[in-house]
Amino acid sequence: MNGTALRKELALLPWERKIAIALMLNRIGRQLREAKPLPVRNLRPRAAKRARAGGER
Amino acid sequence: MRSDRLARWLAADPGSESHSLGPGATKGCAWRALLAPALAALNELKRLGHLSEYALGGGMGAMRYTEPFATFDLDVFFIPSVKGISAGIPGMYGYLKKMGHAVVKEGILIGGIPVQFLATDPLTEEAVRNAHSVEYAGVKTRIITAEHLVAMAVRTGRKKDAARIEMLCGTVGIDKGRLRAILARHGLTAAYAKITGRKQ
Repeated sequence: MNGTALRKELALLPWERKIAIALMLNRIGRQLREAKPLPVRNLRPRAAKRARAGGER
Repeated sequence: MRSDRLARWLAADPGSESHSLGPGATKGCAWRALLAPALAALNELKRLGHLSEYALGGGMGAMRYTEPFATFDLDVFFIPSVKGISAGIPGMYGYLKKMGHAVVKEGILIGGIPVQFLATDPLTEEAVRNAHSVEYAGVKTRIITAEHLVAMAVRTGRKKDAARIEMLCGTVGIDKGRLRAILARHGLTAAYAKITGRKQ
């Protein structure tokens, strides 16, 4: 199933279900925003170096 | 997660034992009726004459027609029952606070959902008057039509409104003639062409 087909299928769900999903998405988003980043020491050396330098390059 | 697995996950009952969010995911609330307390309160406000008519718009209203997406509050467009700059909002808030609902930022929290009240102008009044009557978990309510939601998004014109227009036009059978008439009536034809990059 591609993205467009998935969107169309999801649009056909009952409104009650879509509201419940939206509120779940809100909650997941909040949890992700509030999640603490992994400590640098848990990363492998190269990834740790990248993280110390400010993230992905 | 592959999209067919995602579709199955989203379509499953989020409160069920088998759902990966776990059986406690919707603890303390019947997920089928999350908006029911807010909608019942709106109907009560109408019955008591605090507002003369209302309809749901914004993200939660648009979701009637589109796929689900993250949205934070319930936007209620209402035709005030009293004329004047306050539009009867102090009376509505007074009643809702008396019923134990808390005021948060620019809305009021009803059954855990932030509800924002927006008094109508000519476009939104037309939208409220032409709204569909629907039922949500046994509670009657009204939702603004997809064509009026598009026109309202065109007028607001933020990036998320452009995305919402794409969603509404992409997933719903929009009545193009009706949309064209609404846009023309409210002087939004050029704004629609600009925001969507397509001619009507």
